[in-house]
Amino acid sequence: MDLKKTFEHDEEVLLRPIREVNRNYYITVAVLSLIVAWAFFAYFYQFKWGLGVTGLNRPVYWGFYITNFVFFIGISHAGTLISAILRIAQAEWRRAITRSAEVITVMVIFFGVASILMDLGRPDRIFNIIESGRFQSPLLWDVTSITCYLTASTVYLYLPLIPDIAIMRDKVNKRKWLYNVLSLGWTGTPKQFKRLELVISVMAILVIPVAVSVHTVVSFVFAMTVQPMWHSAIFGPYFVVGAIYSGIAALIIAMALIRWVYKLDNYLKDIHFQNLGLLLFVMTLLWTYFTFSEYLTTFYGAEPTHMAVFWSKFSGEYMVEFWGMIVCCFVIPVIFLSNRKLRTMTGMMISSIAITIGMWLERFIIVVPTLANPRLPYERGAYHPSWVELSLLAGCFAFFILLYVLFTKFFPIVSIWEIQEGRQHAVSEVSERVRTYLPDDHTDGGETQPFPTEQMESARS
Amino acid sequence: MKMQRRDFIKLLSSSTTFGLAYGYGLFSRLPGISGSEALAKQLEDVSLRPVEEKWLPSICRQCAGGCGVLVRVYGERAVKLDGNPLHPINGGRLCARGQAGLQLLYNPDRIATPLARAGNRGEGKWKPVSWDEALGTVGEKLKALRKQGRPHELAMLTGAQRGLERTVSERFMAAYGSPNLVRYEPDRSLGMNPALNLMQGQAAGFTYDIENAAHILSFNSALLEDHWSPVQLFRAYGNFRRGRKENRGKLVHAEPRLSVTGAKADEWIPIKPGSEGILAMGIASILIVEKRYDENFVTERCFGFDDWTDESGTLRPGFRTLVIQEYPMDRVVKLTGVPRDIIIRTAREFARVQPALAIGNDGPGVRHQGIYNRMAIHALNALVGNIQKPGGVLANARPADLSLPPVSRDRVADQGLSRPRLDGAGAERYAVASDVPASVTDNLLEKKPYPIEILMLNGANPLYESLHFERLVKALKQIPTIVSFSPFHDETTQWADLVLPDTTYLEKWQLDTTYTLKGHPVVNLSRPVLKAPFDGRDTNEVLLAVAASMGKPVANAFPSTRIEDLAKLSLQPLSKGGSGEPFGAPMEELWTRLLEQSGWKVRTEVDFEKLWADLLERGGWWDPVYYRWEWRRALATPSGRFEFYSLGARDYFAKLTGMERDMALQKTPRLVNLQQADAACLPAASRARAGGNETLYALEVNPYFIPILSGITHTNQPWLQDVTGFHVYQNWHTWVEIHPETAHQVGVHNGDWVFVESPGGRVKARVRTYEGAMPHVINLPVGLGHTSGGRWTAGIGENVLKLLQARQEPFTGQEQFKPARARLIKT
Amino acid sequence: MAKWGMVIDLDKCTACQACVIACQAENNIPNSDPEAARTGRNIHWMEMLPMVEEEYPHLRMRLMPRPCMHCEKPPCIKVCPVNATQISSEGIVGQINARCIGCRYCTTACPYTVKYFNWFKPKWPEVMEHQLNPDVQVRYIGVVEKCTFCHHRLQKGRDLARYEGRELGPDDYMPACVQTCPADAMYFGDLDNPKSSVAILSKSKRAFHLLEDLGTHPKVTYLSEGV
Repeated sequence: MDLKKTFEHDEEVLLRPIREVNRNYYITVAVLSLIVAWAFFAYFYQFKWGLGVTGLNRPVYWGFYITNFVFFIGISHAGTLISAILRIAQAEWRRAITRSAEVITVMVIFFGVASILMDLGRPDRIFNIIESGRFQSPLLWDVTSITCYLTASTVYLYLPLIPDIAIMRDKVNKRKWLYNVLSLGWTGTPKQFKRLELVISVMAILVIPVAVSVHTVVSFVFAMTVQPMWHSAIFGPYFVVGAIYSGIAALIIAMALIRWVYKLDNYLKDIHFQNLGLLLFVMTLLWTYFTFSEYLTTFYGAEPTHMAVFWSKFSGEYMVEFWGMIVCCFVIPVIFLSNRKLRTMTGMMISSIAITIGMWLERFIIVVPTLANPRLPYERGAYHPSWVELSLLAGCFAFFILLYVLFTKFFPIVSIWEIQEGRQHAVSEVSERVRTYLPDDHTDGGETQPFPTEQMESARS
Repeated sequence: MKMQRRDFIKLLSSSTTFGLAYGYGLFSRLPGISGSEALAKQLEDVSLRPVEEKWLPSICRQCAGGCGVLVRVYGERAVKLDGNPLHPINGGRLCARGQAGLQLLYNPDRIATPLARAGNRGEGKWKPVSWDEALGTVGEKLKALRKQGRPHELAMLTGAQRGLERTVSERFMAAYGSPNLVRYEPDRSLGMNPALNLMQGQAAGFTYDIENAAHILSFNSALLEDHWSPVQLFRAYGNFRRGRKENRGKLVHAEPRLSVTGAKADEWIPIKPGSEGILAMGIASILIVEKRYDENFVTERCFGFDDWTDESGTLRPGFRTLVIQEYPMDRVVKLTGVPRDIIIRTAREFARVQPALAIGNDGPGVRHQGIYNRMAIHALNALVGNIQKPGGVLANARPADLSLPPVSRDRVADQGLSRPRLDGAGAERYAVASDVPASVTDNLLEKKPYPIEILMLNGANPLYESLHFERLVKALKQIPTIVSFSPFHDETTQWADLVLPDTTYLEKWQLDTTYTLKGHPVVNLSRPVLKAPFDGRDTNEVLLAVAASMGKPVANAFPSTRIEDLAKLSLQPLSKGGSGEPFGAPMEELWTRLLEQSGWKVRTEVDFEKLWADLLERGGWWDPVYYRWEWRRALATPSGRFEFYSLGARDYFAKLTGMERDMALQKTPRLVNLQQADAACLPAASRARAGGNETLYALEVNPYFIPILSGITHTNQPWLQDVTGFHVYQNWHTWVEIHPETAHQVGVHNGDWVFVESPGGRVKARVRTYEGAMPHVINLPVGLGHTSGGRWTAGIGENVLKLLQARQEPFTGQEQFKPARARLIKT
Repeated sequence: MAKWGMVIDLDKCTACQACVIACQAENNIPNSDPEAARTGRNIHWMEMLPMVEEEYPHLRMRLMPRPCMHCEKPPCIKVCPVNATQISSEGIVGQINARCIGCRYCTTACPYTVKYFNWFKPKWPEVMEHQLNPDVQVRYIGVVEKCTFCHHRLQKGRDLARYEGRELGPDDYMPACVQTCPADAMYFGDLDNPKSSVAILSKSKRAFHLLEDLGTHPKVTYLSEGV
């Protein structure tokens, strides 16, 4: 059968990264591992001597680590949330991209959590959170929410992996035992598929509120204090929007790299990027709208303590970061994404990279200037990250990329069975669905025939 | 068995300790991070044994204030200082410096053993020697010098010594035969006194009854920053503000910068540096013209207000003439930069609200006001008749007589003592001065009146205080033997041949005589409260030992070889009865006062041993009764009145001859209309012109003493160093305060590093824009910039004195800063 | 139950910083040095705050000693994830060093910035360890610390009063800063006792609080300068 050949081709192409291991892969892994090893050294240095080795101080008690935390948790919204929304919306173009998105989520959450651990003065006492946890603290909401999100995302990543693992168990000659265990005896019977799809759709619904809660709660860490320019009612949605925004940008970068490295042009097609690009453009406008509201209300309220923070961002010490953020998150994306001619792969890559940088700056610009401008007339704080913080930032990125690369070498980064399912069922299902959208055709027995199909066809041509 | 309170405390401490130990045990089990080592030590130290805890009385001697402290001694350790509640000076309170005292006691940079110089002088290379060896060396050298009949060639420079310490130094030097016991502490503790001496005669010092004043007009007084006895000043200030039910005291402060006093004042009058005396004369002219002065007091108790005729029949100008002729309002406004309406308002208020005090710079730190300006300021107190009144200027009561029998001297000593002093004090130009530290450098260098063979440094650090660093170094190099008693490696100690480390104040005996701000004499008694943590020895005991080792007649200087016995002997007279009593609760004090003032005097002799025990327990003795109406004591001038025209000054100039007289007169201010001879005796306020090219050096320099380091000899105390410039968020380095607009004009920004350059020198400083700075006047803190003396002071900031030049005042020979100009150069 | 509070009379205060140093001495606070000061790692539970208002020559500078405000509604305890900072039934906001995980959420949440962090292991030159107060625990590395109103003195005072069989008197418990204040500008006592000086003074018309509008209800009251 024709379809079967196509299926085999899909499997061949998508399993190739797992079957074949080349020199570039080893070099990449080696370089990344070196950076990670350096970061581990930096962390142990910090562990031994204390947080004094960072650039943190009084009053800037939080700096890179908390920025990274918010940033990574934000990126994590790329995956599960987008994939869940697309699934629920039955957006058929999702099939090729959900896996790569979900992996980002699961991998990057670890670095969000790790950033918090790095920030602790006493990481050895981390279990005090369980022993004497206090639920009134937004930080504990974070712990709960992130744990929940991590679990849900992992399950949500794993479930759609099962049929692919089964395929690998059958068709890949490596790590049989691993795939054997992980495939949970999947044989691909219709009953199994039916169950799987049910569970996936339940998870997709469940995971959305969790995901929204995660970044809302992250924003609450700031918003629940009375500090100037933190204590804001729109911080929840603002953070969620920002999270999805940076998440999509990260996803585009990841997909582009996958497509380039594994030559998956046929699977991760321009149309996917175009769709994501449009989504990104919408998020750009949404983010800009939130940013604008946030800053304009502060400016008009003109409370002196708020204005001190405002001006330090707008024209003061953090001017470069602030305007950098505006350029990266507004100017560049709008230029490249609003115009069809510029919304090319290059244009989208530029925008996505700019947005990723810009969103990191946004987190920084939220965390640090507020702390550097305390309400009482202490000396204005200054913050310059030390080599330890820079190393750990680099380490987090490197480790994340490393895990991602390793994932692509263990599991197909584009969902094989979903593509196959799409080929098999989706086309007909979609046309069926589209038909249901349209007014019923009563030409056979009814009196009304407002718009005969043939007329439409001819009108079109 | 009933549990005693002390047992209970012991039990308490052991139980606390147990809690700590348990907690520590828990955390020490964690890898990597455990409780701090200090905690471990803390626990080891106290373990589970009961620890005895005592509060022992002593004296705080971080500055000359004379506060009583209680030392919390926990086992073998002193763990906290607090004020002695019975003490009349501080009443249980302590200032920042006092609280930091333990950082001096347990300072890791203290010199641990006697040291002999190993390298070249000034190199800082030392080898430890034993006390026996060190004392032997000193004894030999002294003996040899005396044998050669040159005992006067021994000089001892001391710090702000008082009481028993002073007695020991004096007797040692007297018996040895050297007149050269020089207090080397420029202008310290003199404050307004020299000026007051000219107008009110020599007395046991003067004081301002701040507590009872209704209005204080402060002329750059550094009242809240640089007072000789800060705690009692602060206590008085608190009462001045809020101690009375109604009638909150008002403070008006004139100073070029907004200092702490300025900030706390109800009104701050920015004034050009060095023009305070002129402002005072401006105010005086308003008082006189508007007839707002106390006519009664002026006619009854004053001399020289109106013009007067001297013995030869010549008409001499009085104060009124001086004010009217020399200080027309326009001139005052121009020289001070204070608007006319403010001067008029200030003057009227000063006259209206009584008792009102006019206070000039009365602190130990920055010396720029000069005796004539201070006279001008003090004249205001007489104009409103606020002398010997509650809330006025008070002459201290006579101190308790604690003198020991006179030193028996041999011929060698007599000969030595008859020689002129190294600093020229007590003769000719400085006939009325007791010490003239400012002359020491030149005289040492020029070997005038004779070379010095052995120099002892006993609490003095001239190399830091001196404005002539290089010349002094040169002079020190010429001296064959230098012995330092410093407990720290301070600047001058670096040039010594032998260091005999002193102990700090909690480790030694001392009888300290001082006064309250209401003129009551106080005798503080302190004893060693704990075993010294270093192998230092009390310098007084060392001097006793050296004297003893030299045999008679020098050994005769002291009736005993134990310092404790000397203290006891000195206190003997107190047991003979008379006024005064050991410190007691305020109730007892009130009772004594009540009794005495109603004519009933306690004159019972008490058992000395009982008194001694009492003094040891309570910390000292004082006389709580003060007689305000003893005018002869308060106005001990030739005329017996308050002298606007100082006859004392006139006599002083009259006694000088030819050249000396001309030179002395040259140092007095010049006036437009009056003769120099009259100007030299009147409160002729003036503002010296700042040296240096005005276009090149566009900014005026206003140095001020860092409040928290004021009066402190050894600044190696991190707690204090950490809060030096809190008002401009700067510590651990010298800063320069500059008005934001001036900063903009000269192109510097807050936080920049600059060189402040004057014709005299340059220092590196950090720019701090400060709204409280006058435009075109830069303020620089004095007190930092030690080049040695410990890890928390050596190399911390720069010595601002480098920028300044000084001239010697007439009468006292004290150094007075000349106004300086400077510019900022970006680094 | 007592509610401990402090009143600072700025009219009497001379900004001498005795309270600042007394606190350092009482509470085993490590020494600062130029590096610590430059990097903002020095610790002052009690600190002198300069507030400059208006411009030369009509400016006012208000110098305020600033301990922890011991808010009735402390923003810091709301955010602690492990209950390491708590308000006692007597209104003292304390920090449990042994439980604190060092997340520094409370330090950022405090609008007065009065909480401090041990960036390094607290250390003293050996001889200086002699002066450590045996009643106050030396802090660990990586935990937050703050003014406790010298809570250990309350414990001692209370034990002593109990032993002597009497009520806790007003002089039994007084923080080190209040005890040393030379100008007698600081008062300490039970705000719930209407006869105590703090209760009376905190109702004075000169009374104000730092950042009153934040609703933290500080128990440190300032009395303004002037009549």
